Amino acid sequence: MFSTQWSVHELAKRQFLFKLNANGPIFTMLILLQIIATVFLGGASTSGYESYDDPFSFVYSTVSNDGQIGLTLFWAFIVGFLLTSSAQRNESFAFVTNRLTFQLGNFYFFCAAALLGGVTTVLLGSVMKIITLFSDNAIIESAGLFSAPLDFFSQIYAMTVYTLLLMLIGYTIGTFIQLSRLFIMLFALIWIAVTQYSFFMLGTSAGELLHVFYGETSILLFTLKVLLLVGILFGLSFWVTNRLEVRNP
Amino acid sequence: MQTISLRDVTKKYRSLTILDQVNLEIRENAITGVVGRNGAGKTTLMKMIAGFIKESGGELRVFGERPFNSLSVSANTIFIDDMMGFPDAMTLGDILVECERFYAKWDGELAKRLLEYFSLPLVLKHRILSKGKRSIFNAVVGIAARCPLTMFDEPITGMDSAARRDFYRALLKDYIAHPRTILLSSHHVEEMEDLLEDVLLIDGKGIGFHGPITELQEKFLALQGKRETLEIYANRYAVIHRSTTGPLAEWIVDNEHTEAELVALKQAGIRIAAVSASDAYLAMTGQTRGGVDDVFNAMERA
Repeated sequence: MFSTQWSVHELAKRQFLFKLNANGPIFTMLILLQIIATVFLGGASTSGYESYDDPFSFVYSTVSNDGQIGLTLFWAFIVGFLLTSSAQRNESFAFVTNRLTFQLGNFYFFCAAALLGGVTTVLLGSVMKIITLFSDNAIIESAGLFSAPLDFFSQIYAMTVYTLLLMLIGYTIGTFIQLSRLFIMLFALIWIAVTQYSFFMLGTSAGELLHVFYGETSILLFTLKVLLLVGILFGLSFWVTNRLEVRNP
Repeated sequence: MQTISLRDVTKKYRSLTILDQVNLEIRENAITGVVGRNGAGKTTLMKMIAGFIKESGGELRVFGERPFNSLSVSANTIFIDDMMGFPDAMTLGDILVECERFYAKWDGELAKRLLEYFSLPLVLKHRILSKGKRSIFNAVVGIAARCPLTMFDEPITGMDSAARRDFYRALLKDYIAHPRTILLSSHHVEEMEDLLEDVLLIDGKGIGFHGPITELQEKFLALQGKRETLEIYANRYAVIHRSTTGPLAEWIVDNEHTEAELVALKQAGIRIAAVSASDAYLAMTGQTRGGVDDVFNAMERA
């Protein structure tokens, strides 16, 4: 009876390609944020001075790309949130899709964006080293691609995964808010509760919750934990998306 | 062959009922005009058929499948309205490329030629288009997608009269070359009369009329004559509308009469004429009464 039939996989792929084409500005935003982070936060280094018995003393400073990491994660959260807007939904539903292929297309887009965010952020670490080298004429002690390739790639892996998680968290929160504006209150309350709690009891509970991820030393266990969380977030947001009425202002 | 079938379909938004227990069959490869007053439920009906919104009750089938979340229905359906969102960052040319990606029977050449004819350069961005130009672009997408089920929801919003005429003509020509089921909603029945085969009139949360456009016209008669004569001879009919032009009065009445009655009317000097589909539509939906005057009169009295 149908003259055209698509498989879910094929359409999810096409929705993903459409998302990539339609959301170029999202990547421009990332590059801009990273430039800002490098220019304005790049100079931020913590200095130290060590003095032993008289003839020996040395000055050291720690340069980090925490600024870029922070901004990339911030960007990730915003991107996740942005993709739940009704404009984004209407754009996708202007073409062929159902709610499953829409969600899958978004998920593929997050994976691609996270990979880009992860790789560029870690590479910016190398840019920082070059800047430091030129400005300070310093001896640099750090892991790089050639001195410790495994470290380098695990950095990229971890950064990509964190970016993806932040996107999915933003997406899930955004989806619930699309369902009902009342969820804004709920999420605000949760945010206050969590931050207050960890403020008073530093290192316990809320801190431990995050420690589950950043404290994990086995890359396999880390991956398993991440997959579990991705699954939960994907399931939660799809549960809402699957019943949304679209193109209906 | 039925493309769309509805059995007791109801749509509610919380306590507000938009459509109540609608039964309807839309046949394949026909152009159906969906008409009705503002807020009657035309858009709601079409969005349910497109699978954008969910029916609250009843059974809705498009190509034999429930449209909500159906990939096959989506692949064979296109819904064009003036709220159609395309990404801000994309030019018209980019959008055509995306259409090609999603619609199996997309005719890119036709789309490009039509846009050229309507002087819409492909380098423009969709969001900077004027209301009329945007409607033209969306309509072109709807025509060139050649979906087996094509729905236009008030496609002519903002178009000038030349563009409207061109749109109807383009739609008709492409429909003849590539037959498909088309639903077309508009308030301007007089403009679509030549195009439509069937009319679906939505009135009072349900179907007011559904059938061939000629059948709609045959429901009524126009009687023209002196007002006094009409009052003597024609008062037994249900009068839908009275109007006076010069010395003659025209009444639109229900077309229920016997041959003998017709002869009597003619002998009394009353001219009997057919009504246009547009007049029949206006009469059926009570748009001929001009009742808004009553509102202002009532306010002056108070």
